[in-house]
Amino acid sequence: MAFSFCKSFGKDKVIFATKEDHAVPSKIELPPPEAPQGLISKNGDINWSCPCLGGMATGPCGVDFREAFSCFHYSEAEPKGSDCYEAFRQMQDCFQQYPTVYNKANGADDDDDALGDVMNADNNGGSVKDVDELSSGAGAAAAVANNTTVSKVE
Amino acid sequence: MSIWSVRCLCHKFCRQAHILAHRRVISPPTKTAQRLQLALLNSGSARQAHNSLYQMVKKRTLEARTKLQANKYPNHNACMRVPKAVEFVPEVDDEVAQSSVTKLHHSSEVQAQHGQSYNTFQDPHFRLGYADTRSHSTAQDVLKSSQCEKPSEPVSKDVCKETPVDPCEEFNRLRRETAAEMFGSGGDCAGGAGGGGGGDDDKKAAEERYKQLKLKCLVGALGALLAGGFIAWLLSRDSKKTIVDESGEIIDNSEEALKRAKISGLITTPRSSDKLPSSVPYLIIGGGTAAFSAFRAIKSNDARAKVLMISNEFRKPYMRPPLSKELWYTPNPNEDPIKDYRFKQWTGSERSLYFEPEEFFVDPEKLESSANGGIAVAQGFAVKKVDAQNRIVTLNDGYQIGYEVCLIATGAQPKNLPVFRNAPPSVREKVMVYRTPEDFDRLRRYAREKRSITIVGNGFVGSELACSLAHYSKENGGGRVYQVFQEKGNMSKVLPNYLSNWTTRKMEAQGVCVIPDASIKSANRDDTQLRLELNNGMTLLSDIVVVCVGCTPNTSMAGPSKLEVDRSLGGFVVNAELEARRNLYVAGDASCFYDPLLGRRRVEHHDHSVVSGRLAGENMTGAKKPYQHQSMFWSDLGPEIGYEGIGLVDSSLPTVGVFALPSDGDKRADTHNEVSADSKTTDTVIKEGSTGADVTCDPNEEANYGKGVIFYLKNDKIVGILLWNLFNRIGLARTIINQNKTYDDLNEVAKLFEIHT
Repeated sequence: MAFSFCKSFGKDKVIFATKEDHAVPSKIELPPPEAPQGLISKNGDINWSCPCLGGMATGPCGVDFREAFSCFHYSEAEPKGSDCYEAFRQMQDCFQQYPTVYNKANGADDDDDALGDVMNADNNGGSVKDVDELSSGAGAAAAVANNTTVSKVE
Repeated sequence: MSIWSVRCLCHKFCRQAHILAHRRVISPPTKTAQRLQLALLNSGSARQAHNSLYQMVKKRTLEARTKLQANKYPNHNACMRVPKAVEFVPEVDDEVAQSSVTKLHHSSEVQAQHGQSYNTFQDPHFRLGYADTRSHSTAQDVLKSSQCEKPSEPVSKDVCKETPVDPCEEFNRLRRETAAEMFGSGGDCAGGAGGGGGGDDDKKAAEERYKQLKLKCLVGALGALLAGGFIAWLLSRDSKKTIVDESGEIIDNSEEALKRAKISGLITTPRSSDKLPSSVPYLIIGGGTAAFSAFRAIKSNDARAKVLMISNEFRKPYMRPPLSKELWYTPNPNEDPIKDYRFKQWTGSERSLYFEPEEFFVDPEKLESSANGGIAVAQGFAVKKVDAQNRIVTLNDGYQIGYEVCLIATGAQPKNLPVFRNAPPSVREKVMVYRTPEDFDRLRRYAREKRSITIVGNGFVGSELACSLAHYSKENGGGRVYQVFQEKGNMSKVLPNYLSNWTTRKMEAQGVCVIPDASIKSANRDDTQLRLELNNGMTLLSDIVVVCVGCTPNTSMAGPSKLEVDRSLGGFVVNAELEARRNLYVAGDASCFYDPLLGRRRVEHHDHSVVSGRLAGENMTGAKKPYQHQSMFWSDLGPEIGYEGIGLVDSSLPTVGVFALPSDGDKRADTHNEVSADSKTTDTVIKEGSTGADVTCDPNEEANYGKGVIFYLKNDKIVGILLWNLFNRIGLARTIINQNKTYDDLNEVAKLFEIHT
């Protein structure tokens, strides 16, 4: 058995731990990590602050996006969202007015960028190593819409 | 019909999600729903969730990192290469100088700003220390003793150019050789050398003056010619622009010309302050990261919010971290100043420095009438005063804007050193600070021309920049990079001594000529270069000096506004909800806030600007939330060092570091399997004579601090965590800090971080 060992530089201690030592599970029990904000809050409302929206709700078409997405989220129609045509059309019209803001999702190169940002923002449990959190990405809408569909399907 | 359209949209969305699923997530395809649920809502309550997240992200992270870094850092030779003696054509230099002057002018106004900064742990001592040249450093003694033996002349020339011996190598060799001597005769020798050096200096100075006079005449004449031409060109360009703009004619490049004028600070946006609304619901003073983050939060909670941002920069909000990192590694950089500063992220994708493109923003003149609100940025305006009682902000030109709720996010500005501040203009034009894209452009011009660059300071910006420049210089085939600071190692305010020293060695291996234990005694202008006399006897010839010695928060409006500024930490004093007064908040670098967990703090980091800006924005829309989400920071220093931290990561605290020992290595010494957290027994002995520590460290020089976790303790509680070459574990670190607990066995805590994976 290999041993871990320990050194000391005054107030600074150093432990060199072997893989074997750390293979034994830790005895420390931690509470669950800070729950990151999800897209849908516990009461079923949409959380417009969710980083997963990648700035969709705050952009120049934020209001249109909210209307379309709310309509879709609360839609009782069958199939879901079929009563939201008008809202989605308005949103699309708005998107077209701001190609440099919303075009990201259409270009083949960039679309995975925005989605990636969404993923990163959430995977890190709210910690954002990416400087990206503050940037929008139209692709977020995709993830959002899909997620809603999926959870409703279940 | 309608159903079909919605379906189309959904289909499009699904396609996106498909891409997402396939490119990013590695998990069984059958559990699509669950997976997305996890990814998006991230319930993550169990360790299981932790694990799968790690697995998922780790692979990508590692791949991206190794790929990027393999490309980025091809060469690991230490300061070994004999630099090419580069002859500079005076005209070229003049041009640089010329543009430097204008740039300096410009940037000194602009750089007063916003957003994150890396130098969290700055205190006044740092700066004061530089003013005071006589520190008892080993390097000083070493170099002085070397001066005793040799006439001072060769020392005062650029060792890089004149001698085949690399100054860094030489320096290190001398240091090693005289390591023993230092204790005994060092002081004596240093004194003698000091006197001799003084006499020599006088003679030299006289010679220098004469030479300079002669040169000045020549250069002056030439410079006048060039300057005249340049100014004429500028004026003609400017007037053309103005004409174009005012007459509203559409000439080919009018839009571009306008954009250039705006960015170069020639005109404000809007043209005059009376075009700004006289009152707005949300007013943000400052245009950096915290300001933009606050806007996001406001608009998320108030869909039709009208937000006016007043920035004294001439740019739209942008992020700063890449300025000292990624931008230097981006190949084929676009030289155009109106470019959007694109760079490759660590994930491999490309993006701009700007948070959002120009189109995202509302014209300030149209903000009031816009139906859906939005954000307008008044660029190039400064605020003199905030009247919190009457909710009125006064601009520098006297224009007043009423608000309902206001955020101060004025950021910080880089400090300079007295030795440069009090220097003649000819010296000052070769000295810069580093905070803005203009600074980046300027420094890259020097780097591209293979100039020798000296960085002063050992903090985040200085150390990252030194690494980035060393890399750039390697790619570019020239230009020496010196890093001078009076501490013993890089990042010494953050990293414990042993790690700081280790880091310095790694940086040297990357080609940075690190000169620790040294401060700048004087700076003189040579024909083309600056001559820096260090207090250790060394002389550096450098084309540009970049001062990276921390920031001071921009609180000049505190006096007229009758707001409190923290005496020791600086920054506007606010409560845990970031509120200075009713309906007046402060976020980012300029905010000295009360952290309910860790006490009163002021933090200068990008993520803190994001976090505090968001919190302020939420509270501006009525959330009434205290600061409870700890911000983090990160830094990268070349191919072998990347770290993230959270909490109080302050090297003056006792620390316990747990590093991964490669299992195949046969290193075993003591059988201390456990470490008791009795670290408050402060053995100041080693701290005092840290040269002693170095010596005892020598047998274990090869100790590999490749990967690990470092706990920073206060009253035996974990108050800070540094993740050394470990990524995607900051959430776990945050959880541990929030416990605010004492742990008997920190090795057990370290196990949670899976440092061997």
